[in-house]
Amino acid sequence: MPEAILHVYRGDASGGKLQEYRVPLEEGMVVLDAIHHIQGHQAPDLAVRWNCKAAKCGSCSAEVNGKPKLLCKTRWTRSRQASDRRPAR
Amino acid sequence: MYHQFMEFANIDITKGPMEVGLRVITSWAGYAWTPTRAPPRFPGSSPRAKLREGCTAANRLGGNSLSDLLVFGRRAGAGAAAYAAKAPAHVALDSAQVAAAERALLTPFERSSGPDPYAIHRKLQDTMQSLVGIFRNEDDLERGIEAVRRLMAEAKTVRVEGSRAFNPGWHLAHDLENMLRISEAVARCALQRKESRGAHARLDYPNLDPEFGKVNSVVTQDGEELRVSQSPLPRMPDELRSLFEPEPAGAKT
Repeated sequence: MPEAILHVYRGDASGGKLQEYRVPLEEGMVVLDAIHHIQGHQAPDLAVRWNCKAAKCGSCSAEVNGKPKLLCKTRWTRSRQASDRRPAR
Repeated sequence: MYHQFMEFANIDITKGPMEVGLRVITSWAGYAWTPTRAPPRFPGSSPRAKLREGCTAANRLGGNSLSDLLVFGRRAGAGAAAYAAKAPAHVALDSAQVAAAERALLTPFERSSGPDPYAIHRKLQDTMQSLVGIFRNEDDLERGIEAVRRLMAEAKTVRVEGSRAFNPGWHLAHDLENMLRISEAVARCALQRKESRGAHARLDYPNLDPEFGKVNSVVTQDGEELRVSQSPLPRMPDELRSLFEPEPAGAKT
């Protein structure tokens, strides 16, 4: 099964770093799906804000590959294979 | 819808099929207690919450949660404000209860082994989807109740990793108990309601039973046990009743 490789910024008030995760790549998947997969299978303490999953509420704003995006509508196929994901500034 | 499907999944719903799934968006249940029978254990909450019981019914499947929020949110807020205006400056808390709650919350961090809360959550979703869905029967519901109770036992051994700051796995470990309790309550109510009504479709009891139309199901928790009883449906006040046309004889639901 093809994998998505993500570099997710993890840290706290004292700093942080990008950490690599691999998740199964599925058709039509968005970055938020990948983050939830990591949360549910590899890192239960990975925090992510989200709510509507329909690009209306703005909760899941984050930087994907250096650009501000909504995680719920950023489809994987439109991103590069390896993706950086950081909290929005 | 067209735009949303194109944008999120690259599916043109004018040309091909779209996947349709079930999702719980609101739970049609209220919280009932009788403040005269026991001292109020929840400072600031109001007996008005009881009014929530019986307000929505089986035949209105969507769009209720918003009006619920507005109507009951306002009533609860007004009740809490009235209470706060009269309440002493400091509410005395039972320090033993606080310590027990703290202990229960922190224990999952101290375990060196135990199931992951997300794994239990997925099992609960699978159980409810396959055994306690819209179309139910006695056998499935009984198996569902057993499965949920096994998961409850498992949830009591859950292990949490990481810090206490913004830790969704920890939050889930705490929420699981409520999710499991509600799931068992849903399954038990479905089991005793031997009829089909609205989104509750018993394959073994496919018809409406007018007697069940007169009662609400009330779940009472006693330790780890849940018991279902019935209470008469509140009568609609006359000023509301006058707004409704009488239903034609034989109308469904």
